[in-house]
Amino acid sequence: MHRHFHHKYFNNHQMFKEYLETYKLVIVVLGNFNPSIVHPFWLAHKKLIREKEAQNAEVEVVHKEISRFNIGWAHFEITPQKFQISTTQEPYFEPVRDLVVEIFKILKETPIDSFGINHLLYFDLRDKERHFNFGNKLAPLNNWNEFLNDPRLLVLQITERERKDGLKGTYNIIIQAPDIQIASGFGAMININDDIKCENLDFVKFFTENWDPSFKKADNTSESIWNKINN
Amino acid sequence: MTTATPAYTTHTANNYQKNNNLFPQSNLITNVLSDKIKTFFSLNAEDTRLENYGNLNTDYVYHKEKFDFEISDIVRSNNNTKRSNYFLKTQKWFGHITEIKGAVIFARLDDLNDFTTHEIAEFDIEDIPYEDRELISIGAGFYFSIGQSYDSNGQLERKSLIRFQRTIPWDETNLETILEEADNLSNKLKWE
Repeated sequence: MHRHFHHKYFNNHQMFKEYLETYKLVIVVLGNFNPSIVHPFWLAHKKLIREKEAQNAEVEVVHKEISRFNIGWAHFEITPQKFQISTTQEPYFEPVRDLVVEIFKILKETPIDSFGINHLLYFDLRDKERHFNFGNKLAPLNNWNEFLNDPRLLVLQITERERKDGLKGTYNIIIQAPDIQIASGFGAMININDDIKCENLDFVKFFTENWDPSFKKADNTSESIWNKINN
Repeated sequence: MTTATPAYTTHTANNYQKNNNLFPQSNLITNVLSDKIKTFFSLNAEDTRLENYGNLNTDYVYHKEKFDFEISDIVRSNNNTKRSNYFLKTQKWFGHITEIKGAVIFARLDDLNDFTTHEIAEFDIEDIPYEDRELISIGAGFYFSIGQSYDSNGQLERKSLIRFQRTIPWDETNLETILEEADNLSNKLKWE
């Protein structure tokens, strides 16, 4: 019995990793910002990125209302209310964390209300049946046969309004169609929004402390969802 | 009719399908789609800009039977169009330089996926990106990763990456905060 359980867990874990195609990380910080300060050459000047990366950055706009640019491995978008950095490359998750931490060590007077560590996991489900089951297991589609012809799940959002871990903020899980190309065309995305209010706490310290737990929780959550769908 | 599709069409087509909700952006295979559409509408080879055909969505809905393809057929077979900036199946370590001997550095690597294991590794300095070499010193931290990504032709490549950790230098305030925290921690320790 025990061996059987272990074997099944191992298979599901392997399957989860095998079907996981891409992991995108989006860090969102909400507060009051000055978008025009954050610029690739400012980052290079502070030695937070390489000079070459600043030179090769694709700058879309740098303006007092919005700053948007890409340094190759991270995309920045800053507005007066929102500071966002995202990457689609797992090797750069920690460097992105370092960037956020170092930027706000420099801009230490910036008032910050909350932050989100958003985990976007893209799966290539490879065939029609698995693709259908992904939605059907989460929201049984025969509930809708009475009203709709051939119903399909497009978006499912579940929120935890009072967090189990005691932190202030919300934990949201969104199941949706991927917004990137998936090789087989049968893709699905688990989008986990870990939104934490920091109120008067030291943002840099609070963000750093919550980094590892956020990844661990997202890993457990996404794998549990995967197991529920594939059991 | 030529099958070549200029780069700008990709962009246009992506915007087109995104703005018109024809089908999810993820499912667009530009060349296949544009060629099928060009064939259906008997378009000129030179004129591949989908935005010139704003009624395509409507046409597809109302004259579906005339199309010799289903949108669901189009959304497959796009192995060669995978974006190149996605990194897959990654293994990551955080390294600390423990020794520098000539053109070689020795480091302790801690597995970022499994904090209980570590390894000792050596790297040639020439493998370190040029702009990171000024950061090489005993104790310096760096990220080392191996994984896979697709090149622009859809060829799967194995890659390794080294990137040194970049942090701003400590100032007096930082040091004071750390000393204060160390004091607090030390006061909390109970010896039995």
